[in-house]
Amino acid sequence: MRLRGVSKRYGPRGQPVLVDVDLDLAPGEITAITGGNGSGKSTLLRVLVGASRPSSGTVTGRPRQIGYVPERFPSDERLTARSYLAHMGRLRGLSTRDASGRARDLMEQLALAGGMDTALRRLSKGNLQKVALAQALLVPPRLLVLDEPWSGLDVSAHGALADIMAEVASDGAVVVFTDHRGSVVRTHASHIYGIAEGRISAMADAPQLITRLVLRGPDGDRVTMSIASVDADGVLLDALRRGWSVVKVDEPVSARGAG
Amino acid sequence: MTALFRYTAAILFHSQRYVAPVLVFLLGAGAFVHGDAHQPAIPVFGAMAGVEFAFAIWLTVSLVNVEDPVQRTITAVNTGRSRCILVAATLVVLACCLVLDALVLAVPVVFGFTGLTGLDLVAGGEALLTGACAGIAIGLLTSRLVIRRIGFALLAILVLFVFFLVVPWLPPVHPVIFLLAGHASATGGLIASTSAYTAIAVVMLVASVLVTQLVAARRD
Repeated sequence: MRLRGVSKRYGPRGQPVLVDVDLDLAPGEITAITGGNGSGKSTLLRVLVGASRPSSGTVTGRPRQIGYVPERFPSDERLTARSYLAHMGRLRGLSTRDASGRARDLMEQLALAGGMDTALRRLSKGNLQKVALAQALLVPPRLLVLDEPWSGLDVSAHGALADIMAEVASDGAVVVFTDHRGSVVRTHASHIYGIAEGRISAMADAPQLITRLVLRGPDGDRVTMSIASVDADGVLLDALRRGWSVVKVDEPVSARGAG
Repeated sequence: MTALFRYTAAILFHSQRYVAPVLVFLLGAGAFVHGDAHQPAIPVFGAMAGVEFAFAIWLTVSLVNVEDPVQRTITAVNTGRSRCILVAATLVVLACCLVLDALVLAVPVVFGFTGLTGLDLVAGGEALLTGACAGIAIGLLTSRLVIRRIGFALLAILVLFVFFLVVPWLPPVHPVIFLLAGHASATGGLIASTSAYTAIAVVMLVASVLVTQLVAARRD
């Protein structure tokens, strides 16, 4: 997938949100876009999925099967998670049975099986994020675009999301995500771009050494997590406070190989 | 399109935003359609076309506005065709209108209105369809996709509703109501006229879908 000279402004007199963006995205790679609030990350993702037309420039090679996880998932839907995912699956061409089965599998993988019959408006932010992830994965995407996907997820879902992204990329899909936290970006991405005031720049890939930890929870659950610094964004500290313990520490490896 | 129709109908059903316009429609039907078998059916159908016009505007605005913009983006990505979302909303409202139209047309048949003919039902059906299509067209143009601010949208709805209902030379709603009000039974000429107004309403609806889609796409 290739973007050339993509610019975007809202309205003829609006400030440019994206300025002359060139970007190449290859299958099998996990690309991170990092930048501050209002830097243009979300707009760039909307252009990637085709939800927003660029004011100028071209986007080529966009696949048909796209999974999109927005930064803010709508929280006032009255449909249950099960019904919502079945509808989204049918929109993607699945039969009702296949859509329901796939939704059930995904929600089990993301540990929301118990909330399937809860109305979306009653789900917590983290569980809504899981539903958002599930709807993007109902049909294996060729382009998976995630806007701040770790926002609100609990520690076990963190690991599941990282595994899913790596799995989707290893199937030959393009995976793009945004996050404003450098440690998260370095841990999970193979290519990193920075964006500021709508201008994108390739950052040093910074193959920072990261460490994998295996944690055990109070009820015996085991979770593998990767950290790029003393504490990746408070997730580790949060887990330790809630009674998890570290049971294994692997040798540090390159972030590129860690997935 | 079937999946999108089902999803859109489910959103409408779960949101319960159909309740108020349906109640208003039923109140209007109660005022104009009653069991007096001696009243001519044609003027009643004309009056109900006006009620249908109001109902269609209200339901369209409610349905289009109920879906969160972010969810609309997700739906568009999942379907792969953003313009289908608007078409599905239009079809859902039209389906609701057709169900209520069938009820309105059934009342004179059930109560055995004097002198009711098949042509009367055709003229009535066309008048109701005219009100529905014109109402959906106005509803789309005053929805959040075109007018973001709710105050301006409400003002636009009121102005357009009164304008189309009151101005005699402005087709299709006012002329079709008063055309039917002046007839006790349908003739070939009346059917031709109502057909013309229905065609105008359908053109209005198609143009409204295209304009709304264009404006929404530009906003994105």
